Amino acid sequence: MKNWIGFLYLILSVGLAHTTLAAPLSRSALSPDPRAAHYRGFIPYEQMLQDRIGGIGTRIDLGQYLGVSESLTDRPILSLLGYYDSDVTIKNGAPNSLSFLLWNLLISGFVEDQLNFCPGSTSRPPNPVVTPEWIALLESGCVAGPLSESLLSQIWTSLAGFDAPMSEYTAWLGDVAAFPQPGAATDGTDRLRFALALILLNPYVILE
Amino acid sequence: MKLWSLCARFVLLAIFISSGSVHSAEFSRPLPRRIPSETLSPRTTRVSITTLPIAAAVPPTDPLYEKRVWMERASRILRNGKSLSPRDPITRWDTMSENDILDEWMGQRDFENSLLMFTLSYLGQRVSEIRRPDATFDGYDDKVFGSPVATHSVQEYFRGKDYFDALVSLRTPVYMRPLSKKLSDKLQNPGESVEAARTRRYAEIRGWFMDWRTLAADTNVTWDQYCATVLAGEKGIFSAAYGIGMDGTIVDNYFTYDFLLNPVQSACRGNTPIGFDRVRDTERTIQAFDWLFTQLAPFEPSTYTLNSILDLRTIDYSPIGGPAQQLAFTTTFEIFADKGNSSTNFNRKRSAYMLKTYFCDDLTPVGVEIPSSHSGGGRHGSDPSCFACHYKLDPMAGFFRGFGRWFFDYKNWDTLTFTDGAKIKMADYDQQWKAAPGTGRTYEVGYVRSTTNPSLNQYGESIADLEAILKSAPEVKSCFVRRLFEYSVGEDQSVSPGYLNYLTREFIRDRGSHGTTPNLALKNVWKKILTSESFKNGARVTNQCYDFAPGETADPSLPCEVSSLLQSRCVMCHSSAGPAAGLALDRQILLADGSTGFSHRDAAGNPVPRRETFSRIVQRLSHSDPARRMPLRMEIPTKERETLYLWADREAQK
Repeated sequence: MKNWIGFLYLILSVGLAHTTLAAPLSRSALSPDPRAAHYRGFIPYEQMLQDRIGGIGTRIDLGQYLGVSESLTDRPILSLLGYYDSDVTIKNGAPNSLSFLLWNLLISGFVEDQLNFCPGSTSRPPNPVVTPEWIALLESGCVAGPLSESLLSQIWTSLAGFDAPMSEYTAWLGDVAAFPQPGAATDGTDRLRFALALILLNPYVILE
Repeated sequence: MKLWSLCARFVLLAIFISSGSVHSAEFSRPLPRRIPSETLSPRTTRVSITTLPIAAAVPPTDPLYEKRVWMERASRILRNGKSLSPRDPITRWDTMSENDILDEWMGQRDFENSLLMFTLSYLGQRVSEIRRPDATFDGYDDKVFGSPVATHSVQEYFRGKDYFDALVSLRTPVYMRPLSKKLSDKLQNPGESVEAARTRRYAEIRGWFMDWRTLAADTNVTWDQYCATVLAGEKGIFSAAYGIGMDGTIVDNYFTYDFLLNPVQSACRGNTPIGFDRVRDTERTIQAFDWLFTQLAPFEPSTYTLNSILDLRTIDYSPIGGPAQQLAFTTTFEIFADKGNSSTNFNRKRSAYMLKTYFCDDLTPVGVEIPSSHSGGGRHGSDPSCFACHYKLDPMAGFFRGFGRWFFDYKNWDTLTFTDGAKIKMADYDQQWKAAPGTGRTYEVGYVRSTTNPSLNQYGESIADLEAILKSAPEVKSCFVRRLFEYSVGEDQSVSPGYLNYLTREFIRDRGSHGTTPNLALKNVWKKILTSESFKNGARVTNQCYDFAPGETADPSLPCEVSSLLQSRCVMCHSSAGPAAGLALDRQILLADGSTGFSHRDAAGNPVPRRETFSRIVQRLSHSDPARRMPLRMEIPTKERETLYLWADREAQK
């Protein structure tokens, strides 16, 4: 099942990447020309999450999700960018397929870590870097049954803040309501994974 | 329909206000309900991702949410990139006016780094963040230490002094960052504190200087022998500042290069600076080194922590002949490194930087009148095709004529060395900028607006004169306002020149009447920009204008910037009511050939073809005769002429 979800996620991600390059997002009320926008930037994005859900005295470290390329002298992927002549940039650059792949990697890693707060997870971190309020929302959002709009609106606002117009929130609600695809078996964790990734990949959140 | 819409909004607002919250933080109060809750449970009915209800079908958002969207964006600009956080008093801000919120933020500590970020951007330096955990010196980006103008102007703001005045100052106090927290492993013994290592190294290096003095005084020692010791090897000049861990500081720049290296190196290469004496000057070096070492204590990292850019300290090394103020560019790495004075560019890179940074002049070669003669003869840039830029580039370059390689000031030298290593006699070099006889000026140096009417230009000779021009020229204030708009809204966002001129007038007016609040003008203009439609409109498109000067109206059939300029610069003479030369530029009409254009008739009353109309506009915008150059008897900012010229040129090709 996880593979299927991963596949759906990949399709969605590639679709979004393509969207930012070539056409308006299917149900995003984007400003007319999102192609002109650049990524918010790695550090500002990290700071944004820190401001919104980061615990006092802790630090959300997104760099860890880009991993380490052990076969290449332990050089973090991030620092490989620019190592060779390249127009690829993850920092303040325009979206392209490779940079989006990196952002996707980063965000999916972050989302997976958030799911560790779901009840029953065996990987719950002992010293969370996020606020207790955010953890409480995650715990409530993992359940398999219906979710209240009140809860969803708090999840949305906690991550997206007020970066996006309300039409984006509405579209997101529709997407979450429609999850999963027909016939697919799923549980609350899968739905939350989907919901969180959609927020964090929203062009209004990830782009300047 | 309207009634339905109003009712729907009222209901949505009521739901929003009455909604409960399981989250105690005011930040996450529930959003207005959009979809019935039963649809939010997982479902298995067939729903295509492309047929889900889309945003366009949903009524627009409510005012409070919109305000928070605006707050989120404004917060990033004024609160050092910060997003709204659950820890912020958002519900209190909800009840405040936009201007009051911005006022509050401009008085907070976060604004320090926001202002610094903008200032660095204004000066042409891009930093993605002012502080980051891995930066060497208390988290600050090195560019912060390399931009004394930025530091100085931000410090002035928070001292209640004039930010803008400091921003356009080219001479600043000499700021110095903390000394290195650690010397290299080779220089600092295990377990030894950096202060102890510095003191030990100081004694060792002083020993080298004593050896130099002995050599200098020995008449049997040739210059070659003396130079081989002083300039080469581990005990040479280059190791002196490095050896005590002040490398990379402003003191290193001055002491190593200006004070030690340049005179000695020149002397060793037979290019003796005026008055150099190896015995006396080696003695002087020892005294300077002793004095300098005693001045370093306040800059030890153990006692000098940067919690804020306001903590950055100054050093006064005028007792050893150093300048009490520094030229702003001498530590700004990008300018220092990239704006070399080569034997072919003669300071024009520095000139281009000044024109672009302070005057928003990108040196687009819009045609200008060509003078009948040049002084000096044969000067680069006299070619007509080059003159479109060089008429203003060369006189601006003249302000830097004394500064050679690395911005070293050669005013007391007989020979100047360029960045490329070439040399020129100062007298010959200086001659390049001498004014023609009869002009009443010694130098053809200044900010040139007109090649035919010198009374419109501002001339000078020195950096102090250039600074005075920056402080008085309206173009500099106009450019500052433009940069503030671009920084806040977006560089590629179209903006009506009429609106920018309106903001500039307000800025100048507020600066003239600020009383005891010298930064009132800055705050007011920034608030206007952050509450403008251009900033607020989340769905804006880049080639449209959203804000206009009072009374200004946009012609939607024209690029908005052009429409604004035609109104403010042209229609007072070329209107339908009074079309000078038969040309009316106040509105476009359907022409006989079916195209859209301006009404234009020749002396006989016959219509002028569209392409010819635009060709003539191009010619007249760049005419060499001031009596025919448009706008008549009016010097308009370069950017405005460029906008009109490029637009008319495009239209003439259609």
